[in-house]
Amino acid sequence: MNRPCKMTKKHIYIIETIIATLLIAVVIFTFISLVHLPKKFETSSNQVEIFPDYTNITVPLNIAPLNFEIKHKGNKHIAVFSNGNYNFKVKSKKGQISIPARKWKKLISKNNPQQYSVDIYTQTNDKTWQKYPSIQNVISADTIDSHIVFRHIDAGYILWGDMGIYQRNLENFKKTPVLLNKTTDNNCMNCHTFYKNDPSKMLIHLRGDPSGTLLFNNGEVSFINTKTDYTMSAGVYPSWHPNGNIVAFSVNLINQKFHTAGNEQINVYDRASDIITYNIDKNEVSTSPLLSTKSLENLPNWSPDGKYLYYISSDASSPQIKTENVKYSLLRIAYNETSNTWGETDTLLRASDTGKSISFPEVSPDGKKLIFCMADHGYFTIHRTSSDLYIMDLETFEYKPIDIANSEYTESYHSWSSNSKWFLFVSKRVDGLYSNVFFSHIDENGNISKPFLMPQKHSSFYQSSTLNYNRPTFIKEKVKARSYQLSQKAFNRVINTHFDEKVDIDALSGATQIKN
Amino acid sequence: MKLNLSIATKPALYIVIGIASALFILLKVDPLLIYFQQQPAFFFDRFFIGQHLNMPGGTGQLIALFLGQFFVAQFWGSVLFAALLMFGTYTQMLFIKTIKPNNYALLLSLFPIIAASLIVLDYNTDLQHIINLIAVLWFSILHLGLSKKINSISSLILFVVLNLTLFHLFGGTALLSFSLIILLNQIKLQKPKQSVVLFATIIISSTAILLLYTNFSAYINIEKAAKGLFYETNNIQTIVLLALMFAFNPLLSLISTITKGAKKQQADIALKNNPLKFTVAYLLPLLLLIVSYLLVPVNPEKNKIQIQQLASEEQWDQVLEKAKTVVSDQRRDFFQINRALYHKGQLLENGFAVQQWYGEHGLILTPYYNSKVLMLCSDLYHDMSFIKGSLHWAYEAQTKYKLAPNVLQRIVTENLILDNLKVAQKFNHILSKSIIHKDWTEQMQTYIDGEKPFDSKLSKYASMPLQRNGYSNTQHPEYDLIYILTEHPENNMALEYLLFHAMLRHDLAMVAQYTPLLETQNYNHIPKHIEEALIMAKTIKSDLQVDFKTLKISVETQKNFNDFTRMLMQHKREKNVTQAEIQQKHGNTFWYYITFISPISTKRSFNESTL
Repeated sequence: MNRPCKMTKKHIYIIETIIATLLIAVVIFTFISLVHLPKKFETSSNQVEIFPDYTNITVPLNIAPLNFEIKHKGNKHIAVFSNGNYNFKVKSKKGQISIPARKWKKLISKNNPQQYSVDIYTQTNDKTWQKYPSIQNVISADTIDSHIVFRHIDAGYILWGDMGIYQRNLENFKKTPVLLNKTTDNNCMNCHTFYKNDPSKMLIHLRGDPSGTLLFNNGEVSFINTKTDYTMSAGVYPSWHPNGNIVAFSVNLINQKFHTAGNEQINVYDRASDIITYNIDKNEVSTSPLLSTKSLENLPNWSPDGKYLYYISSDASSPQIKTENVKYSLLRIAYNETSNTWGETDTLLRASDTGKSISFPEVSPDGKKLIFCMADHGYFTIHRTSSDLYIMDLETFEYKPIDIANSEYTESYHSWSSNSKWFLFVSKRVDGLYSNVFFSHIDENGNISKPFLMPQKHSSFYQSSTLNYNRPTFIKEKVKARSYQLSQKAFNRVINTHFDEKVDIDALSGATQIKN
Repeated sequence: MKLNLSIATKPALYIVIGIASALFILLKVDPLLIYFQQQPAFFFDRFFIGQHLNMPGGTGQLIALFLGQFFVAQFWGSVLFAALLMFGTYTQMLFIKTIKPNNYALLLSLFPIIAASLIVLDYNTDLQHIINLIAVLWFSILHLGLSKKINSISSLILFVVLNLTLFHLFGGTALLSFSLIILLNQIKLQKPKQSVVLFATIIISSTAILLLYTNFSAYINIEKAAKGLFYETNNIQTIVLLALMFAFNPLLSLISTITKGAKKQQADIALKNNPLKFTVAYLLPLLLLIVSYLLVPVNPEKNKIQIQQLASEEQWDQVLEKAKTVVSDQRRDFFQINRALYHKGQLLENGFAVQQWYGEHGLILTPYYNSKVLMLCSDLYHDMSFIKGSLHWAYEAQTKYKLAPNVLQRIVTENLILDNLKVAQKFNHILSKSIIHKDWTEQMQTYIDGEKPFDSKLSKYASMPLQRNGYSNTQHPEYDLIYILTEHPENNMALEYLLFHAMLRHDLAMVAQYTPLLETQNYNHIPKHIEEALIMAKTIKSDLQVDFKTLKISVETQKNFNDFTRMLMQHKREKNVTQAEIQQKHGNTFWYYITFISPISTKRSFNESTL
């Protein structure tokens, strides 16, 4: 018969010792964690230098903590965060301020605070403390879309290695792959586009082998080939019509050349380009004689009501103009969804008037504004140091540079949030080579806030990152398609599209039939 | 006092294994060549480490990268390799004793260990295979040891947990090998029902791990997951050796299940009293190891890799020495030999002593680029002080080789020369996290911070910047050379390469057009091959004028041309002169090249494909 184990005095002593040790450890840890502000300090008149520059910005109340690094050298640093009703402190020896997520959330979203401040104290080598002027940031009640999707690519231009489409949750730091080329035989993938910022409908191009367009449509994936005998290439730069059944694409014959001097590496340009539309239900590619001319029509973007298609075009017919140096104008064409007919084109902004080349028109979801890039020439502005952002009022068609967002480096690849209150863009200002994501707020009066760099869990991230954020796009929630679902479909036989028989090919100027 | 042979023998055995392995890799393989070929880099950086830990097999890869970087030092790399193999042998022996104590554990252990050593002869395979083998063995020992103390259901649960962990840390090959070992070891032949349950559980769980993991992971597909280490190589020899390595222990497990083994105490007594068994148990394995190392042939690629490695260190004399003993069909070897010839002042004098089978494509590689030549394209333009061109190709190389130290170093130096200090700083910062390259990065940092002026080497590369912006021509690099010379007519390498490139392409008009630049570069005579080309050019176009002020074509060369022509006519018409005879007298001439070697004349095509 088994006797139950009796607790001896020895056992009890051991347990008590363990509990006591744990309690003492907790007390010590708590004591160490307490942050005490210095009683004596000198007030510095110089603005504090932090990276990223999270000073005088407007932040959404659902953004992840804006961790940063204090650039001033010191033995210890303390950052005090306060919104008037609530405050907390973070200390660091190396100047890397990692804000606890719960405290951050409480700071910027509980009880609708309007702003928050950050006071920074640094202990210098001679043990004196410096306090810098407070950082004041505004908290906007406008939320930002929870995710962005982008492609990560290296700085190479002809070749590629690992590549993938990723999504990043802006409310925390989670970055997960949507599709990696490790799972699709290391081909190229690009031009991820979403229907109205909604990840239930999206498309991604695959190039190389396998090649085609993955279309994710409410849970189903299809793999389509948008190249037809009457179009010069498969669809390239896409834009979803608000009806969710039509996608406008450009078709392009793309070239690239490498600079021998100067601060730019590459010039990407088209020898020819047109605009087509793809009807998902009919699996049909179509175009219009007005969108397939000998000019270089490119970068379509639908208005949110579907009544207009905005695009860029350049007259490349003159032999004096080298296609690598052309300048594009901004146009739009009316579209009747019911009758599937096109109206006349309307030039909104001429390159000859601006002296620059217009590119990447993006209409806001509320239809009121349009952001575009302008650079010295060309349309592939991510490689143009001169590329800056501009905003146009779609009622008055007046436009102006977004000076607060622009820098001496490239700004490009802008995208609107679904509520039209935020936009993102990429800029190469961090190191001059890699494009990183910045966010700005735009209020009902059109005032645009100073952009801030996408926060990372570790503020040293940008020192080590050697990947571009390519074509980041806002989406309202996490991507629904599973990577496995997408990659498996890529190895299925591609579904060929057919060309709309009703299009009078002879009416076209022949541009679409240019062979590669 | 009686010597306890067991105690004395075992350490001695390991020492012998260690020394033999170290000598093998040092003398037969050369760890520096492995390092050069693979460019392993390990960074003490949370992002670098985190990236690897996300992927199945990432931990094994990290360990391999960490250890592989020490191959840069030949002696320490050899010591490290030896230590790894000694540890592998010990682990293997421990595993064998776990499943079946017997006298011949060492002999058996050396089969997979020898296979593991021979795999490094394929310079493209890193140390993951050895690390994976060791991991599989330890996990197996752990499982087999614990299984004896727990019931069968707990044992299966433990198996699933260990299998999942092993797959995540070390990848598909490790999973497969471990599954087979446990399966074959734990089959109870006397109890078929139990065996069927076990069999089913192991197969289903292993398959489920693979399928579910790949289903939910974006990092890997089922094919890559299942193939594991086999996915990374196309080399048949490596595949066979890998298969032997990882099939060996499952096979042993099967044998141990079927047969009975001697008990340990009896085994030791048996050995002590039986010199023959002692010899077989201890001496024969060592003999096997040493003989394998001695007899295995050196990889024929070794010499070619050595040419590349010597060129990377600008050891031009040694490159040319090595070139005499190597028969290469790789254009990148011609590329390095031509570079060496240039740097030794021999390109325009003796360039055709090398059989230039690839023509101009063995001189400049950009028109037919692929991943293997990207850094070589950068190297050439770096040599020529065409820094922007060099940087472009370094960025292309970085898409393929990510964090390879040679690529990162090139990006740092080119951006430093071009005054793109932010970018230089970034890459220098990344490289500074490697213990191997810390010193180099500290020196670079002094340049980035402006604390010191450039050293003489960097100054030389920075001395001929291109100011006028134009476009580079990948397909016709001669135009890039002309572009360089337009701004910098003093650029000697650009000139010699332009002239030699033109000769290789049979473009005698270009040779004639740019030869006068030799005078502006203070040549005191016309280089031999240029004379040969000009003489041939004048034969074709008698009124060809080359505007020399001080240089003259020598009478000697004219005589040689006449002789060559005579021999050629005899060869073609009367057939009484062989090509070998012509080669013997005129092999090192432009005329011989253009007649018998040039891919244009011989209509030879080559298979190197673009990517």
